[in-house]
This record gives sequence, C-alpha cells and structure tokens, in this order.
Amino acid sequence: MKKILNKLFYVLQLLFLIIAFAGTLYVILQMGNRLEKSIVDNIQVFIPFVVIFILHVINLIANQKNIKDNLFYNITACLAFLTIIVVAARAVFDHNLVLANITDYKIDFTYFANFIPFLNLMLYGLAISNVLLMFHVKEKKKIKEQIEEL
Amino acid sequence: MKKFLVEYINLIGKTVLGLVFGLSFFLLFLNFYHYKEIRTVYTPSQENGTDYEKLLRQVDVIKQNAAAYSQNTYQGNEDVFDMLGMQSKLNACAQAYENETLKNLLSKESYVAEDVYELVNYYQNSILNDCIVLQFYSFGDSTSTTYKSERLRSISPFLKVEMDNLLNSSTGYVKNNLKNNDIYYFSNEDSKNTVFELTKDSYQEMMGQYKSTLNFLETFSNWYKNVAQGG
Repeated sequence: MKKILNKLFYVLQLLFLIIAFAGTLYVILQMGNRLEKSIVDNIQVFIPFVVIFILHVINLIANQKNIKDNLFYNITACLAFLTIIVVAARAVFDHNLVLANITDYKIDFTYFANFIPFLNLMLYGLAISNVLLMFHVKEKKKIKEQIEEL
Repeated sequence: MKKFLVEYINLIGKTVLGLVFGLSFFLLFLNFYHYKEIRTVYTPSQENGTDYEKLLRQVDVIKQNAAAYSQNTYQGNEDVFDMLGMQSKLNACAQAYENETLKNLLSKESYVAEDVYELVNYYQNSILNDCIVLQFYSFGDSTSTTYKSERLRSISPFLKVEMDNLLNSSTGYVKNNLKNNDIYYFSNEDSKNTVFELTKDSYQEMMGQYKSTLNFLETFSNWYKNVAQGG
C-alpha cells in the first residue's frame, strides 16, 4: 500500500511540477509584456524551478531511493506544487479579484507577485531538504532492504 | 561520528520538509478560504422599491424645484444669469443620476465586489468631479465674481462646508479596500459576519454617499425654488 501511494505521489509531483512551472511562466510572461520587460528580468523566479528540475534528474540518475521512496517528501512536494497551481489559476481565472478586472490582461498580477516570496520559500525548502535527505547510512539501509526482501 | 552527522543532517532535512509542508498546507487552504470569502454576493433589500428607484424619487424633486424658475414669469430681484446658471447646474447633476450607466449599475438584484468598484468609480467621476466640483464648488466661494446674487453669497460658507464634507468622504478608502481584495487577511466566520464584509459594507457605504450628495442637491434645490418663487 505504501509503495503504491509512493508511486502515485511521485508521479503526481512530477505532473504538478510541470503544470506549476507552466502556470508561473504564463503569468510572468504576461507580467513582462505589460511592463515591457524581457523574461531575463524575471529570471530569478524560475531559478528554484530549475534547481528542483536538476535535483529530480540527479535523483533519477543516482537512484536516490531515500528521496524517491520518501512518502512524506512526495506528499509535501505535491502540496507545494498544487499551491502554486492554485495561485496561478486564481490569478488568471478568479474575476472576483478586483485588480484583475482593471487591466486589459484580466490577470491579477499583484496577487501573484505577493505569492512569489512564498513560492521561493517552498521550492528552496524542498530543494534544501532534498539535498539533506540524500545523505544516508548505506549499511543500515542495505540491512533493511535485505529484511524486506526476506 | 559519521553516522551521527548523517543522522543529524537527515533530521535537519526532515525538519525543513516539515516546515515546507506546514507552509504549503497553510497557503493552500488560506487560498480556498480567501476564494470563498471574496466571491460573496450581496443582495440589497428591495423593500419600497430598488435603491435606484429611491434615488430617482429625490432626483424628481430636484428637477421640479429647478423648473420653478421661469425667465418670463420671474419677478424677483436676483440676477437672471445667476438663476439660469443655478438651474442648469441642478439639471446637470440630476442628469448624472439619471445616466444609463448608473441605472444599469444600480438596477442589479445582487452585487459582487467588481460591481461595487464600478459604483465607486462612477460616484467619483460623474457625481463628485463632474457635478460637485465642476458645477457647484464655485458657489462655496463667497468672494467669487462669477455670480452676483447676494442671497447665494450669504449661504456660500454653508455650501462650502457641505461640499467639503462630501469631497472628504471615505470613497477613496472604500475603493482602495476593494482594490486590495487580492491580499490575504486573517479572519474567521465571526468577524466576517459581525465586523466586516467587503461587498456588503462597501455597497452600503457607497449608497450612503450617493444619498448624501442627493440630500445636498435637494436642500440647495429647495432654497433655489424658494428664491425663484420670490420667497
């Protein structure tokens, strides 16, 4: 059961990560259009996404079971990416936000901009915990695996 | 020692993960609550007609009072151009209330925050700026040379106080509050029901402002009618 949940949340977090990145990219691009700024000026918003992507690749290549099989990590990542998706979706679709209706873009940029520090906090937090959880005692794990196999 | 360090690093990693979990959980549910909160719809009471119909009754009184002056039948001592000027200003303000935009805004059965924002905009642009400032504010200056009427000059200090009160009203605060409805704030059901409800409170505040301006115009039109009838 735990393994199935693990797999489910692992796939979900990858899916949510892609959607969250796409949502953020869309809002930031529109924000840049409005202010006539290029995407390079807002590149710092995407750095934590890039860090998370790189860590995912490392986890895959190095087969970091300590992370991939960590249910709590997978659930937390899902929750963090889902929050980003919800905020991006509200900035675009929630027309009860009065500022969204004032500009022709129909996107509440202030609402999303207020969320960017939290976005950084969550993504950098995930990245830091990912790096810290990479360290583990190999012997202990091997014994555990052997017990599980038996 | 190495094992201890690794376990310690792991513990820190799990703590950071826990904090991220807490933060994202909190933000996610705060967002759902905020979404629910700002989509509140306010339905005003329709007793004795809609709010717009109540305003129109007062507008009719203002128009009737303004029509009391006729250049052909007037026998008073006031300057004809002053009387005509006041009449046209009263009619211009009455038209601002009869405007199709305001009619559409105030004929709705229920209101969301965006509608109330439009009400504030209309009030600031068409009622305060176009009517009070552009049409009437010069009447508050007793040293003005744009009119000759001594009777108008005698009431101008009172007009100025009334108009300043209208101009210093809380519409700017209401507008900013509506604009800031995208900022999370911590509230619960109790405070929402008893202390503050953005759409309802803003709507009622704005209707109060529309009525206050109409009361001022009606009082002035009553004075005008009295002068026009030679009182």
